[in-house]
Amino acid sequence: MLTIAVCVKQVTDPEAPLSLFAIAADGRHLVPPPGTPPVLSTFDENALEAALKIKDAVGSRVTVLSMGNKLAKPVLKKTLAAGADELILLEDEQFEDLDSNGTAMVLAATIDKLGGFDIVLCGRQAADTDAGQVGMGIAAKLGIPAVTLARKVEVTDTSVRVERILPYGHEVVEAAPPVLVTASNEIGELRFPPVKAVIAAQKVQPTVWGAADLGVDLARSTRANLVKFFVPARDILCEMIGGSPQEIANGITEVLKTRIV
Amino acid sequence: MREAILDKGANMGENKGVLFLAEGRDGGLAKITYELTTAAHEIAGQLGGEVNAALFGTGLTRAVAELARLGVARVYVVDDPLFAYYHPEAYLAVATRLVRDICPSVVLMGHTDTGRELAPRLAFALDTGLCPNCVGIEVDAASDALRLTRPVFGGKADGLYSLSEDEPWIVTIAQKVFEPAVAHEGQAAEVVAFAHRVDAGSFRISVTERVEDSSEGIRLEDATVIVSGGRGIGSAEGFAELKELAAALGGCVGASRAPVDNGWVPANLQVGLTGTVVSPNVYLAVGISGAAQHIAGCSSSNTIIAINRDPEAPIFRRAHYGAVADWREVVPALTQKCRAMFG
Ligand SMILES: Cc1cc2nc3c(=O)[nH]c(=O)nc-3n(C[C@H](O)[C@H](O)[C@H](O)COP(=O)(O)OP(=O)(O)OC[C@H]3O[C@@H](n4cnc5c(N)ncnc54)[C@H](O)[C@@H]3O)c2cc1C
Repeated sequence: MLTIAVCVKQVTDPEAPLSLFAIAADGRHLVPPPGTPPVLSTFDENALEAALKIKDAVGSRVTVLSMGNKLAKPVLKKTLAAGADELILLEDEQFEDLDSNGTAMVLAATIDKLGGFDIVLCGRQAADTDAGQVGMGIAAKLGIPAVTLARKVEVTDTSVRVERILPYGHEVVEAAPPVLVTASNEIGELRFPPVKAVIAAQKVQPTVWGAADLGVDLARSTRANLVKFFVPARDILCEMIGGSPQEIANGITEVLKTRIV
Repeated sequence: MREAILDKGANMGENKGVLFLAEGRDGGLAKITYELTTAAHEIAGQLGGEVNAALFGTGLTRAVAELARLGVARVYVVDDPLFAYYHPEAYLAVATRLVRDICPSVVLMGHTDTGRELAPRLAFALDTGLCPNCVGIEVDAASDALRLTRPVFGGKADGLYSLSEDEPWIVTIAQKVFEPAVAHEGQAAEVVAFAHRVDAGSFRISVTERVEDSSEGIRLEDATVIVSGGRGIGSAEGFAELKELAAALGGCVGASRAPVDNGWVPANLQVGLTGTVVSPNVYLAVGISGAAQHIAGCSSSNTIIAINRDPEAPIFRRAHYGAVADWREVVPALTQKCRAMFG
């Protein structure tokens, strides 16, 4: 049977307003307000949806991999509820704050340990770091081709067929498996799991592996060092235009008049 | 042009400056190329070494001539139909070879569709560090290391990064951050035809079809006026109203991600972190809340005007002018007024 791995990152909710967050004293972490649960990185949800669409179409076994430290299991179990067959958590203190290279090393080692997959799916970029590197890193380390920015992924008899987003259109790209594909939001949102599946998923005990289980040596893995996070001063003084709709329209037109030549 | 005769050994230990990957467009150079030139000179000015440019594509005569006038030492050119469109394996093969041959300390690309695809591939192929989407680059005077600033958390904060010691450091620069360089007559760089030896027969990824959306009128990134709508517009019909306003202003329509996800507008209208980065004269944001990921795509607009019925909407902290109102009442009046004024 076709095998698919989906790499999923747990992130702080990217849609929550920053005013509610604080930057930790070490400058290297963002502290969410108490009670804000982490979420699955949005493009990784799209990647899982792509995998489930393939599963619907041709049948496949879908394995979800998630790396981190102190992972929120109930959040990640959402992937099982949505239709993934297996959840493997890669948890280790060493996995906290890894850069893209380190992350790709851990995920590639896991994929190797599991004997490889026909398709590896990732989100196009993480919703917190926005780096967009891990997918291509995994492919490079596994020595398999990578196709990015998929809006549709299909499996034919001989190849994986991807519709890849271009700035003003799309291209159809084919590669024989094993292949890595990164998903964009155009693939569609992750399906809503039935309540029964949600309850069943919470009972599953996921496999948990650490650095020693994988045999990865992360001592020299860092290529990009975070020095600190900061919030740049960016607020602009906004001049408000008030009044009735017609007065507002007039006011905006006055502004436009001086700016459109 | 002469064929490159390059000897890696001869370059060892020398500071080889900055190499940037230029991008062409419509036979000339894309805007980002001029911004890259400025960034490259700023870095080389502090690190030492020369600034070289590379350009891959086909039918590049005019683009190469222009690039050669931007004050770079050498322009490495691959002018071959195989490079007419970006293909990751073709571009990676030739970029890797070029970087190995000329050993730059820093490789710069634009954070464009090409750059954000190619840069990670190159970084992993060379096993060096990459900092994407940089809005600030400084050279630490004591260590000669780069200190790179880039937006994170969708633009809610910035992160300051350094890269590990192994060169070359790979950096993609955010669009519309650096002042574009100006071409000067008489500043002719040496043009080197780079022998690439890329064999399409060895590719594992094949592009079987390329479909261009029928593009109406001006492209977003070229527009001087953009009327952009968000979830607050509510429907495709609502966007038809924005289109009329845009037409009256000689501009085009953009959108936040919500209307794209809802199928009200095509995906290529999306402005933002994962859409197009725009910098028009006027950006009119209608029914858009002002999420950081959206602002990342329009913050370099000259004037931002927001219409939103929620006085607390974050867009009012990013706009120059704002009106708290229901767009359905304001836009028809505004369209009429603009037709009279600008029609
Ligand atoms: C990794 C990642 C990448 C992303 N990339 C992008 C991107 O590239 N571009 C992008 O735009 N978003 C992007 N997003 C999504 C972004 O976080 C926001 O969800 C999105 O921008 C919200 O769109 P919106 O402002 O239209 O909708 P909302 O936030 O829902 O805002 C709608 C606004 O409309 C106003 N409104 C409603 N009705 C009316 C009315 N009748 N008159 C006037 N005002 C009205 C409301 O007050 C509200 O402020 C990304 C998100 C993630 C996680």
